[in-house]
Amino acid sequence: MSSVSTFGAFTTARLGMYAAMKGLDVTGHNISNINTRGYSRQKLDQRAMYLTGSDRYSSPNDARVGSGVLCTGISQLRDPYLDIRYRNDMAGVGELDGRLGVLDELTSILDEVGKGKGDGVIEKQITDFIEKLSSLSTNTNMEEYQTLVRTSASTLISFFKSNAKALEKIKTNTENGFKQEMTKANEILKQIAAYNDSIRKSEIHGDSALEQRDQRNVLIDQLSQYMKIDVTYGKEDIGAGVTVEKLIIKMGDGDTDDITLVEGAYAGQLEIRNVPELNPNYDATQSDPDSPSFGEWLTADGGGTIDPSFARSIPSPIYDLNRSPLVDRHGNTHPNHSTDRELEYEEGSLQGTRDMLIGAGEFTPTKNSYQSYDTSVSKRGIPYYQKSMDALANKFAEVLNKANPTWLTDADGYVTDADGKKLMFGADSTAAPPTVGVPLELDDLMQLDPDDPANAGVLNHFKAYGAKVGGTLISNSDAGDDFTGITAANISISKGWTNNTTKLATYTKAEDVGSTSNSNINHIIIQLRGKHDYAPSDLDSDLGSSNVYTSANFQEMYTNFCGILAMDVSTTGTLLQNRATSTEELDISRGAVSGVDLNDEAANMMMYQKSYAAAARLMTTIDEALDKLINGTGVVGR
Amino acid sequence: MIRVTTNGVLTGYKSSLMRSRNQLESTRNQVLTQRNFNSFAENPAAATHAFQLRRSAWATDMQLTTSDSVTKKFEAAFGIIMSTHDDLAVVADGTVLTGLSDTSGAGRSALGKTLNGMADSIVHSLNTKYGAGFIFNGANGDEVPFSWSKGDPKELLFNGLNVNDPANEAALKAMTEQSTFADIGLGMQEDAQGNIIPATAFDSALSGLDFLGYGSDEKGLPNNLVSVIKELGDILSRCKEDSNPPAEGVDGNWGREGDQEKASALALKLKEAMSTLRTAHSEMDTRTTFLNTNHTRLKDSFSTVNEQILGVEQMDLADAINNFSWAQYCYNAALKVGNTILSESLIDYMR
Repeated sequence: MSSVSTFGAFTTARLGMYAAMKGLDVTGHNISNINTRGYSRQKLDQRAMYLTGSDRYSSPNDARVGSGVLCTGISQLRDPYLDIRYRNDMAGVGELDGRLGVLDELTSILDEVGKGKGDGVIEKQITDFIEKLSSLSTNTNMEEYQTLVRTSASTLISFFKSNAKALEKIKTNTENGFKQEMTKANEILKQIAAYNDSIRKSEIHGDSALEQRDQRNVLIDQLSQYMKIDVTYGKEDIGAGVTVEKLIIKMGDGDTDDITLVEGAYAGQLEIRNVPELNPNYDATQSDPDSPSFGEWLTADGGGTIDPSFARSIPSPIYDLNRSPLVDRHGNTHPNHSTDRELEYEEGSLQGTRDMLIGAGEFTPTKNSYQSYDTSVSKRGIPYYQKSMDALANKFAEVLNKANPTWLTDADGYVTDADGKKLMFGADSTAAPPTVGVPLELDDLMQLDPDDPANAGVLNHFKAYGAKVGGTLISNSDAGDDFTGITAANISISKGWTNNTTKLATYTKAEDVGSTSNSNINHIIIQLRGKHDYAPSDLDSDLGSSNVYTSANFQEMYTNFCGILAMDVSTTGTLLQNRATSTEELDISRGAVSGVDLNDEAANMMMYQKSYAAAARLMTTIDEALDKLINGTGVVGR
Repeated sequence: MIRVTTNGVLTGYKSSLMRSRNQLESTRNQVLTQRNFNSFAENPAAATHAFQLRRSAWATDMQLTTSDSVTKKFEAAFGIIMSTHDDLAVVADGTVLTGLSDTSGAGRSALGKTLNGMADSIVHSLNTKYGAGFIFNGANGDEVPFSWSKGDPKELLFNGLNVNDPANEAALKAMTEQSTFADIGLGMQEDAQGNIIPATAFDSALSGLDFLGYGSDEKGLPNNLVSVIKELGDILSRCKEDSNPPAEGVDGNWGREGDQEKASALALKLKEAMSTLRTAHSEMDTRTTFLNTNHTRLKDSFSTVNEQILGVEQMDLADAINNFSWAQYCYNAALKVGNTILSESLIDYMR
């Protein structure tokens, strides 16, 4: 028979009380943290204690009993697989949210539904302009109708300009927002590394640092919104056979070529990559090295070079990112990650915002540009809408200016004098007006570059003897009459039209001189109502192809790209709604595993309280039993 | 078995409540604005359709205004021609014949003055303005169409050209063919050379020469109605001037040799000119009728398009209020449920 320890049972009772008290502590901790964000409920790990080993001289009649309960530690209840799923979904939600934010801002400018008593703003103003022209067509000899038309055009132009300005403001705000997001992501990376460091130290000293892990998980959840991340837990050997956990965060979805952002206590930072500057004058056929159009890259002194390493460095205009070397909080660099690495965008709000900043759809430059990734026309961001407004303003100016030719012509298109006789231009053109020489077609005259001194002679000749009927109505600045390079931001009433030296030509043919014919006004109206072809190369030959992407009248064109925006908003909104709902469900599922439930904790409280009471009762029982032995045994006959 | 935690229930409740609230706001918005959609994104197809309909409505409205202006001009012209025709009918059918057969020089002379006066008044009528332009000067509305030459006898000029001179016939013909097109909803289009296709717009130019005629016939007699009346008037006026014995070979109280034959010939020309006037008048009548019919068509079209716009954009108020009431009820129910969400737990029952 084995020996019975006299006072051993006290230890058992004491350990029981100790475990119950610890259990109550853990329950109290859970209850008080029910509203702490990211908190995972903790539980007390216990195991029965069995101290005696096997005895050589033991007997089959022996009954061995354990010695109580041991608290082996506190553990967290968390499902890591749900965490992975949640973070994957958050990357998608982040991207859609980033896009929708900018799309909503664009909508506030471009959406005309319900504005202006339902008639729209730019839509209505284009109609108003045509209306004023229509009134002028039945009153061609009245000056006030010319003024009304000009005022209406001026209002329309001011709408274009204000839209362009607002779009530019959105772009600037979005850029700032992007940089702020990057800064925030960088801060989070640093904080995660700091937590890694702290958790590692705690683990080395034997503390599992559960609360810090929770805080770290909250930060990783936040980071997953900015980009798609892959979180793995590695092992770090600190010597003497002891390993501690090491957290590794990579950007991507688990491929072997993903870039590491955080490894243990070392974190990298996101920064916009520096790229060699492109030469805007680059001509692939140029072979003269001294010419400014030689070489794809631009040097610091403005020349061209074929070697990108000699070119001036600028921050990437398409917001390409680099990851800087991984450093810890003391500034030490990780030996395996000591260089800059190029990052590829993968989901997340950074990508969403970046798509909106550079997405140009049909207007994506096909040459002399940094767009190196897949620029399918489905990516439409702020530049797309800016360029669409530019295309509309440009086409409007082009059509109106072309329909208001400067000089009187005959039926064959030759420029004439006020009497309808063809104007001749010859080598000796001093006679007034000369009758010797070659007549000039209006189209050819309008193609001549006014800045080229070789054309000065013929242009002055026609200015002196030609009959001016119309002129440039829309220019790129209100200080002049230059009609090249018109965009929505610079479109203006020309100086001539403002000063009334240029008017709307009511007729342009010599046969109508002196009459109140409205033939040209009707022509302008038909042109304004008619369909025109839009190709991206209209604005700039570097911008995409010369394929016509729309053939529409002005109002249809405007409604067209507003409609594209609306479809985008609608689709993105629906997708975001669905994704957000599923992410929320995942979060609730996570909470089902790691969240605190008051019923659970109340039951635990009762259980631990009862077990404490039972252990205390055991102690009392043993005390009484021993008291009997010590004070009540062997006193017979005293 | 799924573990339901307090926070999990609360989170789910909060997002469901928000959804219910959003729905309530959306239906409230519909009641307030009475629109089916308040942004392009809510219903892109309907919004596009609505804008297209509105463009059509504005275009029709513009055409109505133009049509109105042209119709009023034509009605003014119609009135002038009508009264001219009525006055002339009396003169042409009765008075002239009487004058020709009248043996008294004084009577013919008085008639001559009447005729000269009538010529002047026709010229005045046809120089009427509508708005800022002259009605009967084609596309040349700034210039006075008809005037008298300075010499004696006074000849009728149209834009400075003598209407009777055969040399001016080509130029005068060109003037009658001038057009001033107006868009009254016939689908105004241009051809490849940039000229308006006549069938797609309404030519509102009216030339006085179309009504009065121009040029001279093979006998040298004027075709122009006013010229005919003026010459006849001059001839008849000359009858009174004769205070001396009549010239050799002149019969009765006629002023000059050949006056009587010329007067008879002119009387026949007068009938021809009246016929020209009547033809031109009835053509204008037809065109004015067309303008009125077209105006009615435009009005109907405008009305139809407006109804379509309302159909696409406007919400039926009964439907809107119904939806709003239901959303309100659902929201209130969700709020009530909230009270039971924060239910008691086991802790409340522990002693």
